[in-house]
Amino acid sequence: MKANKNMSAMLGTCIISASAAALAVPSLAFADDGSSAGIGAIMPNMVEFIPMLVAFIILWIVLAKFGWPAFNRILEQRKSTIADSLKKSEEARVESERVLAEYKQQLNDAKKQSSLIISEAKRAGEAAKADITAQAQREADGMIEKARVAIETEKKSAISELQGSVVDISTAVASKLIDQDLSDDEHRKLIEHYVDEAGSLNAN
Amino acid sequence: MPTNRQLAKQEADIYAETLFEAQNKAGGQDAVLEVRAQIEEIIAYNRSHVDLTDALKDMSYSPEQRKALVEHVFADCASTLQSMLGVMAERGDIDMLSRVWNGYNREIAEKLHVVVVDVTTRVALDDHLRKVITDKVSADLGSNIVLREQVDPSILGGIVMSANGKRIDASVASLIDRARTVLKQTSSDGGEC
Repeated sequence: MKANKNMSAMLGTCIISASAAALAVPSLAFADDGSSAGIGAIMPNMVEFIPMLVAFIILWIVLAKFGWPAFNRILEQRKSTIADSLKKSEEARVESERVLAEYKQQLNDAKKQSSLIISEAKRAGEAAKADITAQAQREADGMIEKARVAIETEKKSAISELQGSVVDISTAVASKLIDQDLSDDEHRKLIEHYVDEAGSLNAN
Repeated sequence: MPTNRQLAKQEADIYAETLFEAQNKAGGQDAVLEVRAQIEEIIAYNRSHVDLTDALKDMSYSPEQRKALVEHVFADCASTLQSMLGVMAERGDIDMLSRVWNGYNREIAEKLHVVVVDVTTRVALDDHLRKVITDKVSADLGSNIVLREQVDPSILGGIVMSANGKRIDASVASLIDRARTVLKQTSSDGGEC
């Protein structure tokens, strides 16, 4: 804004200086009226020059008063808009970089956490596997031991039952033989023998 | 103060003494011993016939009904024994019959000075065996002996004697039973048959 004002001032100064110089040497312009074929060919016609100068100055004043400020305002707005856009895009870039960094950090954290969870799960799984294996081994050992004891018990029971049956059969056979083979006289001898060998009915 | 057990024994002794006196007066030692044998048979019969015992103890029957039942069932017994059983049934004392039998044995020992020895054998005794048994038991008990003989093939052989509530089992059947028990115990302990 300030530069534009300076430029306008310089332009005005130049125009005024040129006008003053032209007014200061009118003699030269009119000295050689008769020699218009020489320098007069390049010198302005004052009758035309002054109105044009006045019109120029008026145009310059109008433009300096109304044109340049509007033009400068548009440029300033455009500049401001571009600066804001650049600033916003920079902020967006910084924000996106920050978010990206944050996401990367979160991703790294998530990876670390997932690795930790996986390793923990693996460790827990290994421990559970070991426990289950040990428990199964203990149960299997217990079942085998119970089965072994049951088999041993059944075996002893069967042997005992068999031996009992043998004893029953043997004594039954002995009973039959004694009952059938002894005569009455032999029975009486046996009775006498037992009476001699028997204890006392008066014993306490 | 006498306990219920003592009172029951006293009551049973009264039954036994009354029965003994009546039989002794009626027929002497033989009659007394005959009734003793009948009481023993009745006790064994009652043990194997619970319905009869329950009926005789059932207070829903009148005393007269219980007495009539006893006289009907034991009609073949001695009259004095029938009368005593009838009184016991009327009074609900039929459970005392074992005590009465013990008291009756004591009466025999104290008043007849004899001890009845029950002898069970596989074959009938001959005179020689009776003398051997009588001599041995007399020497053991120090009193006169009356043998009550019984033949039971189930004992297989040998002899079973009992007197004064004591019993000597020298039968072949019991010997075999003991042998069976020992053999089974030995085998169950892991020994060799």
